[in-house]
Amino acid sequence: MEAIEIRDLFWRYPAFVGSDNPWALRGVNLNVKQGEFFGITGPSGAGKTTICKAMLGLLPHGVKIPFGRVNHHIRGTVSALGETVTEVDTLANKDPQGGEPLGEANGLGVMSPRVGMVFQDPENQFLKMSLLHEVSFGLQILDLSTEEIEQRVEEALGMVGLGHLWPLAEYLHPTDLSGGQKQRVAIASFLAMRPEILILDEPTSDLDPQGKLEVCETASRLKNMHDLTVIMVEQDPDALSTFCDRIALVNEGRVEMVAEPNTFYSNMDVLENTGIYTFEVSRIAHKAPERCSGRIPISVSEAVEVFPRDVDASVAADAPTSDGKVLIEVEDLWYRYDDGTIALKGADLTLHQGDFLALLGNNGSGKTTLAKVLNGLHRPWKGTVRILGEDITSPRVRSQLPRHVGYVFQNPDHQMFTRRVYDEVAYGLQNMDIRGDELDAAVVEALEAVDLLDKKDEDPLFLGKGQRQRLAVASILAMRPEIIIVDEPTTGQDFRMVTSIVELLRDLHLHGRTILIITHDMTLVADYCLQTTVMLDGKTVFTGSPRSLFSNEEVVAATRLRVPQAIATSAAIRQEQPDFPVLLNVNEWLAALSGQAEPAST
Amino acid sequence: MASSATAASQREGKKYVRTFLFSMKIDSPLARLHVVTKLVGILLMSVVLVRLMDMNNPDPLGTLLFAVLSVAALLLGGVIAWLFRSYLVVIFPMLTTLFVTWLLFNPDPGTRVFLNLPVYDGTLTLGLSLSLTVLIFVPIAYFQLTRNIFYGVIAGIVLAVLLNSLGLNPRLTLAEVSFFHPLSLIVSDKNLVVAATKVFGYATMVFISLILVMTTRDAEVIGALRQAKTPYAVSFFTSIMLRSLSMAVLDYGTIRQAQVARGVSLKRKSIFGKILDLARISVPLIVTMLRRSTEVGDAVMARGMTQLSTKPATFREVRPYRFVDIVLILFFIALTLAVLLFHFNLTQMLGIEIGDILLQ
Repeated sequence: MEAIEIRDLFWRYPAFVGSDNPWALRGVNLNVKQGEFFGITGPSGAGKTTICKAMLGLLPHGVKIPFGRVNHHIRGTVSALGETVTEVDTLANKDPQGGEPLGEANGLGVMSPRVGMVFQDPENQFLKMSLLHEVSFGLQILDLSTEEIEQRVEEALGMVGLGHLWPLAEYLHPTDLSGGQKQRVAIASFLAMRPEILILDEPTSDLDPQGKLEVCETASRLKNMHDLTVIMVEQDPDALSTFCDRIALVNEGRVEMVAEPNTFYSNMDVLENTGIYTFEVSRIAHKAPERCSGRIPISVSEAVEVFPRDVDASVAADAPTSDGKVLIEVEDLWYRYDDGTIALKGADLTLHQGDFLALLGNNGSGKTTLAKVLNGLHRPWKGTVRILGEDITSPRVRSQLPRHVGYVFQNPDHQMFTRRVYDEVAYGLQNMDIRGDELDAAVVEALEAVDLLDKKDEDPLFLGKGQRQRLAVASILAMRPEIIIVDEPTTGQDFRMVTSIVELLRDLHLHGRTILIITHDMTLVADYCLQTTVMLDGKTVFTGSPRSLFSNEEVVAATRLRVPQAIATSAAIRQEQPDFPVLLNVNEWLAALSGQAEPAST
Repeated sequence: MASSATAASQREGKKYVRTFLFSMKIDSPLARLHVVTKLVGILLMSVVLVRLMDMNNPDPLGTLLFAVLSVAALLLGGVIAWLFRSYLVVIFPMLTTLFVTWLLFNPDPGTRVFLNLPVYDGTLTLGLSLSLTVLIFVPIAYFQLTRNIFYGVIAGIVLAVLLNSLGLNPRLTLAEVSFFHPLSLIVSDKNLVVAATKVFGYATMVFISLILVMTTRDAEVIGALRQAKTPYAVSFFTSIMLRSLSMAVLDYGTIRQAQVARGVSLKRKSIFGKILDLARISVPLIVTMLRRSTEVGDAVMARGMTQLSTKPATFREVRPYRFVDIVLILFFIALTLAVLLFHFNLTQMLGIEIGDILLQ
C-alpha cells in the first residue's frame, strides 16, 4: 500500500484582496511508499509546503473557499494510507445563479492522528504554556484517559530524546527550551498520537547544524524503530542525502524529478536551473567535467576519488590581511541579561575598515548578544568596547551608535515600519534629521544599490521575502553607517535567494563598506567572507581567515561547525598528498583545476 | 516512592517556574493554592482594606498586620527577590509620596496640631511681579542658548525665591479672584495616623495584587475555566490568546530594538514624537502577528482540533479545591463580614487610642 498518493493535484490559494492568485500547484503527481524516508526539496515558493498541507488534508479542508467555488481552487485527488483525503467532484454543487457546477471537495479531511505535520517555525506551533500540555494536547482531543495520556507523553518525550525533561514537563515554558528542543517537542506531540505518517516541513531552518542533526537523527531513528513513514521538506542537501531513501524536486508547482539521493544530486543539469542547494563537490565537477572524467560526486569521499591531483596550487592564497583603521575593538566583554543569564563571558573582537567578517558559533553562543552590544542596544556589563575609538560605556556614545553601526535584523517583518518602500528607507534618515534633496538622494541611492528602485511606491508587506530582506538592508544602508551588521540573512531561503543577498553584501563591501555577518551557512563563509571570529559559550575561541578556521581541526571539533565540502575535500586529499593546496571554495577549486588544465591541453 | 524520589532529585535543577509575572518557587504554598482562592482573597481583602482606611475610623494596626502578612506571603512564594529587583524601587517612593501627601494636605486636622503652615489663602492674584518674570524668562532664555530646559527651570525657581525672600519683588496686582479653599501644611496626630493607615493599606493592595500575578500560571487559569464548566472554546481561546500574548511580547522587544537601530532615539523628541514612534511599532507588530496567526491556526488543526465543538479530555489542568482553599475562602468571607457589618477595627479592639500612640 502506498503511504501517500497524489494524482494531478492543482491548488490555488484564495486571494483576500484584488485579483486571483496564480495556481500554487499545477498538476502534482507523487507516490510515497509506506516506511519510506522521503525528501522534498525545491526553490522557495515552489509549492513544497502546499503539497504537505494537501497530504495532511489541511488543504482544502482547513481553508474557507470563497463563494464555494471549489473548481476554481482545487482539482485532483489525494489519498493517504489507502483512504481518500481529498477528492474533487467537479460536477457537484450547481451555482444557483449561473447553473454551472462549482464543484465539491470530498474525502476524510484533516488526517489527524494518522498523519502528523511539524511546521517550520517552532515558536508558532507551540500552542500551550508548558511542555507537558503541549504534548498532551492532541491526546486530549482524542479523548484518552488520564493514565494513557500520561504514559504516551512520557513515551513520546523519550522517543525524541527528551525523556530527562519528563519530571519537569509541567513546569517548562516554551521560552525555557532551545530551538532544537522546541522542534523535537513538536515532533513528540505528534508521535504521542501514534501517527503512521509524519511530515516535517523544513523543521531545521531556524536551527544551527547541531540542532539540525538532532532533529534529523530523531526522525530517522523513529522511522527505523516504529516503521513510520517520514516525509521531510528540506533545503540542505547534506541532511536530505544522509537520511532520505528518495528525494522529490518540486519546482513551479510540479514534481519535476523523484530519485534516490545519489542519482538526484548528480543530476546537475536539472538542479542548477532550479536554483536549489546542491553539493559543492557536484558543482565543481559539473563546471569542470573534463577534469573529473564526467562523474558527479556528491560526498567528500567520492570527490577524493574523482578529483585530479594536478592542480594550480597558487590560487590557494588568502587576501592580504586588512591594515585599515580599527573600527571596533572589543576586549573581554561580559554581558548579563535581566533574568541573570550571562550571555557573554569574555568575548573579544576586532574589526578593521574594509573587513568582511563572519561571526560564527552555535545557537546560544552569544553572537547576537555581541552584535547588539556593538549597535548600542545592550549596555556592556564588564570589559571594554571601543567603536571608532570611543568607549561605549557612556550612554551618550551608545545612543548615537546607530549612526555608525547599522544592524539588519534577522526577520524583515520586524523592521518594516511604514507602508511604502520609499518611506521605509527614508524613516531612518528622518530620524537623523536629514530632509529635502539630501534625503531623496540617499533614498534613491540605497534603493538602487539593492535593485528595488522600481518598487519604491509599493507596500513592503506585499514584497517577497527576498525583496523585503533587501529593503531591510537598504534602510540601514541609506543611513550610511561605517559598519553594517547583518544577522542571519539566509535562514529558510533557497540557494538563489541566499546568493543574491550575499552578493549584494559583497558589492557593498567592494564599494568600501565594512561588513559583519552572523550566519550558520559555512559555505557562504568560505565563499565570501575574508575574516572569521568564532564564539563558543559566550567566549571568542578563534579569530582568523576562513581557510585557517576550517583547517583547524581542534576549533572545528570544539565548536561543531560544519566544514564546507570544498575545503574538506582538499583536506582529505592532503592526508595522502601533503603538498596539495588547501582549496577553500568552489571558485578556488575551479581556478585551480583550470590553471593546471590549460597547459596540459596545449 | 522510587519514582517520586527521582522526580524530586531531577527537579532540583529547576526550582522556579514561569508565572504571569516573573517566576515563583515550584512547590511554594502559594503555588499550591487554587487560583479562585487567590482571586476571592484579593477581591475581599480590597473591600476590607478600603473600609479599614476610612478617614473617620482608621485602623493603622489592622492595615499594618495585613501589610506584614502580604509580604510574608510573597516571601513564601519565593518571589520577593524579583519584587525587590524590579518593583520596590517604584513602590517605596510611591508610598512615601502618598504618606507625605496625606500628612500635609489632610483638611481634617484632628485634635493635636504639631505644625500649621498656610500656603494658599484661597484667592488667586492676577498680576505681574519681578519674580514671576524671572521664573518664566530664565528657563526660556536658557533653552534658547543650550537646547536644554532642566537647569533653566531650576535657576528660574532659585532666582524667584531669592528675589522674594530679599524683598526685591515689586509687583503689580491687576485682580484678585477667590478660588478653591485655603490650603495649609498641617502635621497633626490624626493626619499621622491616617497617613500611616493609607500607606499600609495601599501597600497591602499592591502586594496582594502582585501575589496573584507573580504566583499564578496561565495553565491554572485555563484549568479554573474548565472547572467552572465554561465551554471548551472559551478556555481554548483564552489559552491561545495568552500564548500569543507571550509571543507578541517577544516580538515587541525585537521590533523596538529594530526601531532603535533605525535611529529612533538619535535625537531628543517631544512627547508627541515619542507617541508617534510608539504608534509606528504597530505596523510590524500587526504584520508579524498576522503571519503567525495563520501558522498557529494550521498547527491547531494539524493536532486534530478541527471543530470548535470538540470536547477534549482534561489532563492535569484542573486542580481540586483543597481543605486549605476552603478554609481560606471562609476566612476571607468572615473577615469581610466582620469589617463591613460589625465595624471590626483591630486598633480599637486592642484599646489603643490614637492620641496615646503619639504622646508616648
